[in-house]
Amino acid sequence: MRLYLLAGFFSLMLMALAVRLFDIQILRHHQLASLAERQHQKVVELRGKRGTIYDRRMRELGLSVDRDSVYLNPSELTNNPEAIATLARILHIDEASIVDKLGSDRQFVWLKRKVTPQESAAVRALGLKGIGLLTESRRFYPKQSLAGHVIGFAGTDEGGLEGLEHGYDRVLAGEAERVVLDRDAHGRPITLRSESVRELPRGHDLVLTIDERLQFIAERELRAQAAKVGARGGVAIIMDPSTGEILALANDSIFDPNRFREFSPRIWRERGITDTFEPGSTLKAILAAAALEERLVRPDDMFYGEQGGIQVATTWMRDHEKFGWLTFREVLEKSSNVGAIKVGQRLGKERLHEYFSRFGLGSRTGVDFPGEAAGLLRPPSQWSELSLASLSIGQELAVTPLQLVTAFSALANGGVLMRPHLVRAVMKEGEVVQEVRPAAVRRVVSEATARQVTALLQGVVERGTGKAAAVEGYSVAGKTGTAQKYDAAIGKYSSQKTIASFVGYLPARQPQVAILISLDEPQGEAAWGGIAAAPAFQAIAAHTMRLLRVPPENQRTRTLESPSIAMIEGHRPGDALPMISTWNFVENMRDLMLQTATQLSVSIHEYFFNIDPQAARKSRKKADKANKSP
Amino acid sequence: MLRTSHAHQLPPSMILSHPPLPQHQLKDPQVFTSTPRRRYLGPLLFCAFLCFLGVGVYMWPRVQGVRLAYRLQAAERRMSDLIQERDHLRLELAALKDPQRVFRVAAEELGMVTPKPDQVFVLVRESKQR
Repeated sequence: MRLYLLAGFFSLMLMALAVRLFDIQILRHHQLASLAERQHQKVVELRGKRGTIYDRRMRELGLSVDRDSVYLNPSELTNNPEAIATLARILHIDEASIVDKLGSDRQFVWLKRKVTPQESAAVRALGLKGIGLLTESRRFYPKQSLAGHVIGFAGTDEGGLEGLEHGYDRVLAGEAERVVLDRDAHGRPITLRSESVRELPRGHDLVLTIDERLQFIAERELRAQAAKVGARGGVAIIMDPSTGEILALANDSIFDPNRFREFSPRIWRERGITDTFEPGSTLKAILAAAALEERLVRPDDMFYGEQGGIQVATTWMRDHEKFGWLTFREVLEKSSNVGAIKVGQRLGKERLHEYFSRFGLGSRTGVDFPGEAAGLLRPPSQWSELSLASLSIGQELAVTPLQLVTAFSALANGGVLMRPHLVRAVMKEGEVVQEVRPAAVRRVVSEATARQVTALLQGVVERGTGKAAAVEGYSVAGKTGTAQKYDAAIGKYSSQKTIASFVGYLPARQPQVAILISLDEPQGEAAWGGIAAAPAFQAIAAHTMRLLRVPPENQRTRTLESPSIAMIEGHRPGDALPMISTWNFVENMRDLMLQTATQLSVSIHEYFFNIDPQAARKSRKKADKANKSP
Repeated sequence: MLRTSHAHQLPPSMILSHPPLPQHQLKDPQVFTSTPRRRYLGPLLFCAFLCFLGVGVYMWPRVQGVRLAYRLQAAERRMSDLIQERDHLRLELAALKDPQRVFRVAAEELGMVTPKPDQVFVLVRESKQR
């Protein structure tokens, strides 16, 4: 009897088990299977690393590097004061913030993102349960403030927020992919699926037109000159006039994108593209081009300077000097406002507006940079009686520095307006996938007119207001500009506040670069373009010619008879650089090696630095002593 | 069916109708003491062995797969660390080549200066036959 009861009991248990199994395995199979999948599988969205930004010589300007981010699972980490204090000390965060996050219901809370390798190693060494590390990508700009305004920056989640990082965000960003990861009972990921081990596609790389060396020179000289003349701000642009490539784009303000939060947002923007100003007398070059193209003037035509002033409508428009009779050439060289107004009157409203528009003034250049300002050039229908005169001397319109240097580049390259651009190529895994070719917008003047204007602008530098811009060994064509700023407080143009500019290109016969310098409110006697901006042009242009290996037009050369090689023979006392002469390599191998070794610092030619005269004398004495010993 | 020497004492209903066992089998009590359960023990054990073998064959690759997955994860982690190290070195190299830094080192530490224009000579190679 008992046996039957026992058997019956166990049978009942077995039946209950079978029913339960049936329920779990058959009836609720799908529901439970999906629950299980959620527990042992994790879908993660991963993004490929952001592309690198290079300068034109493939030097990194912005790149992404993996960094660990620390997260917390509040349900696993106990409220251990000692552990929390250690963690806070390692990560340099408040203990209170960690305690606060412990109270969260979520299973995943960030403690600190993208920590340093030292912090990551210290956290890993702690081995705390509930604290984990996840690898993320972080953006770095190894050249710090160099071209900071141009490059812009990417935020914590590697989205571009300013500058080219923002403008080319889609190109730079890696592709996002949802990856399925399997997890074991401890939550550790184990990869069983082949799809999840596939490499994530990186973003594309950008090769800029910027040359980091020229960028450095432009920033250095601009800042030095701005400090010297007490300017509030400044812009320098170096452009290749034949292609429209921007070789350097400098602001006087320092901005390091690695620490963008420490800078005011008004510092972030690239003023050469986003800010406008009245160009002043620099526009007389465009006026001259228009008048010559229309055959309204010739270089030797005479204009009377009205002894320093002219009445236009109800306004007396002054010159900075009292001029008598001037040739058209001299109108430009001496930057006579009266002469320019008279030329403008010959052109007339319609033609003046047409030529300014054709040169791209008052409209966007189409540069591949976000936030470009259009400037302002009103149609003739909206002009007052004073407008023709004002526009003839470069007032009553607003242009960006980029528009102005692009217009001058058209004069430099023979009369074709080029579209400026900052990106040269887009690359993927070392291969060029897209190349940005020079784009001609339109012809603005004939080649003959461009050559004529160039000759006139050479006179500005050789004999006129731009003498401080002359570069030894090179012919420079350029124009100074001193534009009065409109003072809203007094409701008219200020006599104190100016924008001093110089725009030019060199070598004049075959221009390699066009350079613009613009300084905002230089102080005192330096308020003139020829005094404030021209010296910065000279310094930047001289370095640029050397770095680009453009030989001087009146070069001092030494001829090498091939096959042979130039050697440093000796130097006169007091000379920093010894005279160079030819040397027969085969006959004097020993001397060649000895002299090369003692003159090693001269071989560092990246920036054409020279050795200190004292050091040169010491090393020379050493070499001579070594030569004399048997 | 057990046959004993007391067969003649059993009730008639229990006396077997079949002929008695041969003598040699009578002498060997083990033959008479073996139960039907023992005949199936061997096959049962063999079946159990086959089952375990089957389970083993089924489970082993999966266990190996998980182990390999752990090793793969470790290798991936190592690769990631090396890539990270490479990127850090690349970053460091780029920072060392910063023109601002190079200029500072050249000017302040090495005492170098920019040459004057009259100190720069351009060397022009002439292709002349000797």
